Amino acid sequence: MDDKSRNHQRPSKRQRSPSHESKSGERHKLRKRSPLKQQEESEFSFLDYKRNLNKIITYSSDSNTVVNSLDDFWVFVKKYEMTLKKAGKPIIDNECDHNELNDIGIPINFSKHHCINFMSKMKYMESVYDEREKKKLDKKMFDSFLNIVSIYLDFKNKEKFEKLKKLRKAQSELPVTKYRDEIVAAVQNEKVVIVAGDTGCGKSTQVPQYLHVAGFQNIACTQPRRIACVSLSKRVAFEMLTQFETKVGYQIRFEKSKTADTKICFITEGLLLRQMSSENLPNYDVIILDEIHERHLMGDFLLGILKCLIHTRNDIKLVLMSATINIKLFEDYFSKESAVVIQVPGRLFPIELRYKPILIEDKPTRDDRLDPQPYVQIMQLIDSKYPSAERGDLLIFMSGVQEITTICDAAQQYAEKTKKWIILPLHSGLSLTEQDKVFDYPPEGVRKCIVSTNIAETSVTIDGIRFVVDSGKVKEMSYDSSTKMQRLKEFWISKASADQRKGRAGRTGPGVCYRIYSEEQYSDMEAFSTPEVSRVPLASLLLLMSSLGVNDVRRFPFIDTPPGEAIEDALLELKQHGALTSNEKLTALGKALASLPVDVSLAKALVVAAASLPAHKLDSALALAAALGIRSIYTTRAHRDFECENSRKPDESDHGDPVTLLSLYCAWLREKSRGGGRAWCKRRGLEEQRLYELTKLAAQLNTLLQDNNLKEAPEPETMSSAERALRHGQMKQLKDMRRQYKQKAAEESKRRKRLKVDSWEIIDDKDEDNTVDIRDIEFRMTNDASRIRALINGSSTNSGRDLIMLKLVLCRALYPQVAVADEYNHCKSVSEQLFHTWSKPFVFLHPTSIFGKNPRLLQLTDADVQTDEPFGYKSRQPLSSKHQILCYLSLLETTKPYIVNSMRMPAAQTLLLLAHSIDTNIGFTRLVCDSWLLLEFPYPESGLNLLMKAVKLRQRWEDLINRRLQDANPNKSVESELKKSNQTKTSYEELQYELSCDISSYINSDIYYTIKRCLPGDLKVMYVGPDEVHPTIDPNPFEQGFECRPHEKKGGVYVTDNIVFNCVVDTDWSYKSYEETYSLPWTCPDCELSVCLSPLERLQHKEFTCSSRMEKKDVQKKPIRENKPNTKEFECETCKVTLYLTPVEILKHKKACK
Amino acid sequence: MDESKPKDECAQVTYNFKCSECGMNEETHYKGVSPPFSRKIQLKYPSYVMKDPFSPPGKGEILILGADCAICGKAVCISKQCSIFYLKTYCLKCVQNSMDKFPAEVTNKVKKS
Ligand SMILES: [Zn+2]
Ligand SMILES: [Zn+2]
Repeated sequence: MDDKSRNHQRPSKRQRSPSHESKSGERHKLRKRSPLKQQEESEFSFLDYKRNLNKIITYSSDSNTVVNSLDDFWVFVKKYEMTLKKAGKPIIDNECDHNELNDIGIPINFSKHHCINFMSKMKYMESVYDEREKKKLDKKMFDSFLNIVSIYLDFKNKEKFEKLKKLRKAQSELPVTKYRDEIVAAVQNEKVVIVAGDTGCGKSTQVPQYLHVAGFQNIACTQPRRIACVSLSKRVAFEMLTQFETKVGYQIRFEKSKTADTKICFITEGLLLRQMSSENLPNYDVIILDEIHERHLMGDFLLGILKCLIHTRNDIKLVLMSATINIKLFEDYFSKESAVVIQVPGRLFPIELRYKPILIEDKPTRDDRLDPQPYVQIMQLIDSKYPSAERGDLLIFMSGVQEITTICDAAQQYAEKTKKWIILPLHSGLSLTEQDKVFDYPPEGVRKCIVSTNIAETSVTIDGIRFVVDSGKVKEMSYDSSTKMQRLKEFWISKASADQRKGRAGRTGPGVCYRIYSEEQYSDMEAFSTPEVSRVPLASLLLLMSSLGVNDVRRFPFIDTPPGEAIEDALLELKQHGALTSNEKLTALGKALASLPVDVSLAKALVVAAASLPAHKLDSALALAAALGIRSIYTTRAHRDFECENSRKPDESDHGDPVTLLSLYCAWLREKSRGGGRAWCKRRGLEEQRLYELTKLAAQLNTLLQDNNLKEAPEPETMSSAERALRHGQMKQLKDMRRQYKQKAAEESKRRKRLKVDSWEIIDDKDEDNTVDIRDIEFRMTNDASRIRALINGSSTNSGRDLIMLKLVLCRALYPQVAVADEYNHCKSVSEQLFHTWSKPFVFLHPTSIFGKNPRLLQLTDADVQTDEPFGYKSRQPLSSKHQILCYLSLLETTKPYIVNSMRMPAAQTLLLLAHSIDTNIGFTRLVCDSWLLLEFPYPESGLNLLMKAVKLRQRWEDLINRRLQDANPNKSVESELKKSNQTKTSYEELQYELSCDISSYINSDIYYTIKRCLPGDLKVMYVGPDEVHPTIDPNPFEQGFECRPHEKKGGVYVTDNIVFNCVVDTDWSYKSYEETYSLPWTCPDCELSVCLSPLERLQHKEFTCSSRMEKKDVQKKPIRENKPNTKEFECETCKVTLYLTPVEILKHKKACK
Repeated sequence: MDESKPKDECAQVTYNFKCSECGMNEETHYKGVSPPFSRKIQLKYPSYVMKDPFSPPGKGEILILGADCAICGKAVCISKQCSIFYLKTYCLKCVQNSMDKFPAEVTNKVKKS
């Protein structure tokens, strides 16, 4: 049949000639057709007229289904013509048009076109020819074509209709659907409703819709994870048929899709909390807290806040949604508010439970390594017991990433042998594309083996799991508030967790759960997991509480009250930071810190930076705080792969990890400005996603600083018209790329990808390099070339002074998180380098840190040590001007306690500037910092001079920060207004400049001293004690007007809030040195007065009586600089003057100077 | 019939559509034969029309859900289980009641399904 038709098709195509045209033109008039014409008609195809018909379609209609999918339409036409041909029907139909209707208006003669509701209104045009421009399409043929268009429209409509029906059917089959009326009625009538149902019951997607349909207008629904906010809002918008509107939106850390039209908003717990301060709370009529069983810190706190809120706000309904875990706890917590509980049973199939399916020896293997064999054996067991034709994947729960890798490696070997498995790791450290792989389909006869952390317990739901293997372990962070150390430790899971894990096997059909542990072990497990509030740092939370108006955090109605010491330690930390006053009232600083969504210490770094750094250098602090505030930018490969380590070398900074982060970030920005990024990151073992996050967080922090008046808004950038045009073009191109990407992604998401059995990793690598990177597009949309340049300039710390200031800003914020080297480090190996912090002695350098890899950077060389000691001075500690301490971000205990993210600082200079308490002997030769580190300055006056400089700098710095905070929260009293008008203030820029010059010369001071850690035994004999009476010091050279008072325990007197004078006992050498100083006449360097004075008296002379004092002040006046934000320090080569000028002014100056 | 409604007003006015056979219940944006948001498409019989919820707006894509039965006047959806279309929309109940009035080609389909 096929052969035949082809046989007479071929010649006929060649036969086409002008003569046919005229005949076909007449054809519609003819009733009878010659055999030749019939044959010709069977050859006819509208496809031959495609080009001209397309023109008509696109000209004549503004927009519709056919225009939108021309290609698809022609595929349809082709198929349709084929079907007609097969059925032996003509393509140009000649059904007569006359419609004779019966008594109820139904045409008597059947026409298939009557079955189509659609009509197309395209107009016939005379000029339609086939591809060779030979045959004309007549009106009748055109009408036939329109009929096909109508059939196509009808076909498409049915497709979409079926899609809608399928969606509605799926919704109606969700377990929660049966409870719709009950839930709606409960929310309408009660204040608090608890909906308990397991994942998959549909509560997260349906309940917000139910409430919206029931008339609620502003629904907030919290999620613990950002990702869930985005995906839920997309899903719910789709189900509400509003995916192209903003009725359903989301709001997460860096982005929101919420508009004024938004009725349902998915929001992270943290963001909703920040809205809770009364002036910020949007007009929600329902607040839904989802996944409250996860017991995250923010979720728990929200529960408490809302519990209080609904007593004052009658217009807000509270809906709590949880898995069926510990519902009693929530019910009891809201018993006063008489919460109604609605339980939605999940869809769970029977699960066969087997303990210890493989005989495992209980004795630990060598060096405590995890033995993957039992897990591989279970895979073998599944292979032997269940035919591979029966589908069903395997989910293995392990405690952490390392364990997952171990299992994956062993399982991969087994999989390579059998070709029956695809091994996929799953943990939150993976990129989203990597995580998404667990949802793809394996080929026929192959099972997925997903090795996961507890992320797959409740947060990620994977369909098709039939087998679950539970290791019974989880790695969890705990926190010791007294040492401020986090511990990552492996624990047995709770019964609730074990049951959740088991339940994953029965979601799509009957399943099997293998528990590696024994039934006794199960019965020994805790009923529920420890909530986060009992195992994380609380300082940020308590600060947030305080800023939200919680007066006594100790009496806050937590669902689980955190340990008392943890609260006390966190409050102490906040007081040390100056965020709370001694009676726990929020300070101006505290208010500023609470507004920044990063850790308290990083927030403090930003506030300090906003006061201390010039505007154009603030970017460096923003980038630094953001870099430390996000997850690690390093991939797991970064520290294992020699190539990665090597290619990062040029950008590493021997100042420490934070500076290295900043330097890598700048290098990445430079790479971005050249158009690259992804490959660059890969080569260095960096996660580019994190660098995008860093950029976004820095920008967000910048905005928050501006919003809180801690930073002036920058002048709008001036672009030339050419630049503007260029940027406009770029933006257009980027937007196009983004649109294309989104379309492609939408198409791709429709069909889940099929996994390949072999080497999935390599295939993926190729894919990633070729595809468009949406994050890159978005990065380029928000950061044009000049912005990137500004970021690089702002973030890099080329000059020594910038770097010193930046390091000190961070150090000031982190203090007292400093560590001092053990005195025997010089004779120990790299991995044994010991350090001591104030709260925690004996900690190690993290092996991946800059100093962990190169601890020599922290040690004194022989040349650094002064061997020619002053007469009479003896010490076991080396005398040097090069002692260093480490300032660190955090302590983390894994196998050992480690210092994480550290930075080296000159010891004495840093301590004297930042220590909370400094105790000194009478001669200022022995200084004890924070009752912990003893500094000895054997050269006369050297300790005194350094301390004096530190005191003055500390005051100036403090004043600058306070001024910034005061300007941010102007006190509108008449008094302060008067004050303001009376004094013309020196500009920030000037103060910042002078401070940075003086600080950098102070930090570089070359002074010899020893440093020693004081042990409790040392401290017992360190102080004079309160028995001896000390005269007050008047006048007080340290702080004019400060009233000296004795220290109750140590003895001596306070000369500033931080310094206690004359409380440290003298040793032989220091006493002798003091005597000597006193007995020799001293000559004032400024006024040539020569007289015997004690060190303190000398100070008093210099500060109060020296005749040169008045003159000095005048000399110090510096030329007034303009304070435009884009000024730079510029040293003119011609006139050798250092000026502060904008780039334009620099050019002007250069011209003038010639 | 509100065929003359200007475009922007159409966004606000909605017509509730509920199939009397299967219960499908949706808000539609238009009822009639020439949906204003897709000018080149005309319908033979007044129907409940939605702007296509699965396509971006402004593309003129529409979705017809159903119409009122030409005999009994009850709303029915276009699903084969609920209605047939033959120049007009007829609910299956009415078709069954007057089988002889329809061409065999039409009623055959009903019997089959
Ligand atoms: Zn129906
Ligand atoms: Zn009817």
